[in-house]
Amino acid sequence: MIQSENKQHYTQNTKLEALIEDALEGRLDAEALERLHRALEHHPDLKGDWETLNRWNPFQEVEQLEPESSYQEPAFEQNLKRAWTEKTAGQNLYQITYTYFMRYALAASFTILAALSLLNLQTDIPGIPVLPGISDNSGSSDISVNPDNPDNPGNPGISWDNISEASTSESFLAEVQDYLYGSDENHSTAYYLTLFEAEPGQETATETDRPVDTSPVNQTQLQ
Amino acid sequence: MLNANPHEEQVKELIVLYPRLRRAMTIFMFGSRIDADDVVQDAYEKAFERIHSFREDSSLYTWLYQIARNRALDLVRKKAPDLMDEEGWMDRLMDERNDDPGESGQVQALRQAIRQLPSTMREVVVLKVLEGFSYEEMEQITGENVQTLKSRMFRAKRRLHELMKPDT
Repeated sequence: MIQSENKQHYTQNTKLEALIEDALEGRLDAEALERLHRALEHHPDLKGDWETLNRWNPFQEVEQLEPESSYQEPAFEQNLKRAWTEKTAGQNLYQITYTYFMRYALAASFTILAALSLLNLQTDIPGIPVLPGISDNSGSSDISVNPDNPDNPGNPGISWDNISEASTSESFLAEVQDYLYGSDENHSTAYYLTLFEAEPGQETATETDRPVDTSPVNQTQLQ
Repeated sequence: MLNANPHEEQVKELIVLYPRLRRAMTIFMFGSRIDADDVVQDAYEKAFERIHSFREDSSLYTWLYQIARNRALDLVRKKAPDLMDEEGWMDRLMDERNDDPGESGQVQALRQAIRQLPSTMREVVVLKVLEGFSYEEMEQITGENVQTLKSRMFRAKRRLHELMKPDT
């Protein structure tokens, strides 16, 4: 309670002191001055201080106190200018590095790498590894080291030539199936084609063999 | 093609302001020009680094002063933490009289009285009277509200009056 009263008193004093300072500096109009006079009737100590300070200005000789010109020094100014020059030189170096290396050299590197990757897919460039499962045009190395199909090393894999020769989607599918499963009859091309290409009116083995649930519908389940 | 630095003009303006900042920091650093120069150099280096972040919602000098003030507070905390309290200031300042013999008695008395003010009051006097900042700018610099700053100014004047009375 006492603490709260003290705080209130302090806040009120701070407000009054701020107003007195405004009055001392001539920032209050006549009406505000009148209100301040009335408020200070209950604070004779502050009123006394105001009247004293009204007659006393300690800052009349302030220019003599610390003249700015006495702090001027060409050597100091030169140091500051040098610091800025060094700073901008550093920034320029960074800017050059960024502009000409980062922007152009790096972009050029990416372009070259992208071009090399494309060439790698289409031509046999010695020293650049061939993607597994895709043969180069020579049809040599990939046949013997086909990592995706170790059980069938004789399988040449899928080549771009083969794909381009595939005239229909069926033949491409056949290529893929042969590559994946070889000549196993359960997974042969013909077997898979029957799944997708049943004759009209003819059901596939899968559809005809599916058991049909003919039991009555349980009403409680539906509800 | 590389462009010229877009902040060149602002930096020129900053450099013109250095005597003013040196004066303010000399008072801030208990009258030590050596410490003040360290603070000012550091402040300028920081200002050059951050010039791109300067927003024109304050004057360039207010912005520079804020940087220097933070650096000065760091230095005082590091070099003489005891000076951060009012008793410490008083002890130190009493030993630091370095008056110009050519000064009038009134100016010498004022200088000594200002040095004896507690740090918060002294800063307000320096900012308002010597630096000519408005209370709004002082609020920006110190983080204290305008009413508190005005109240401090009033108290500083009252204390100066007490210190400069002939019988003091």
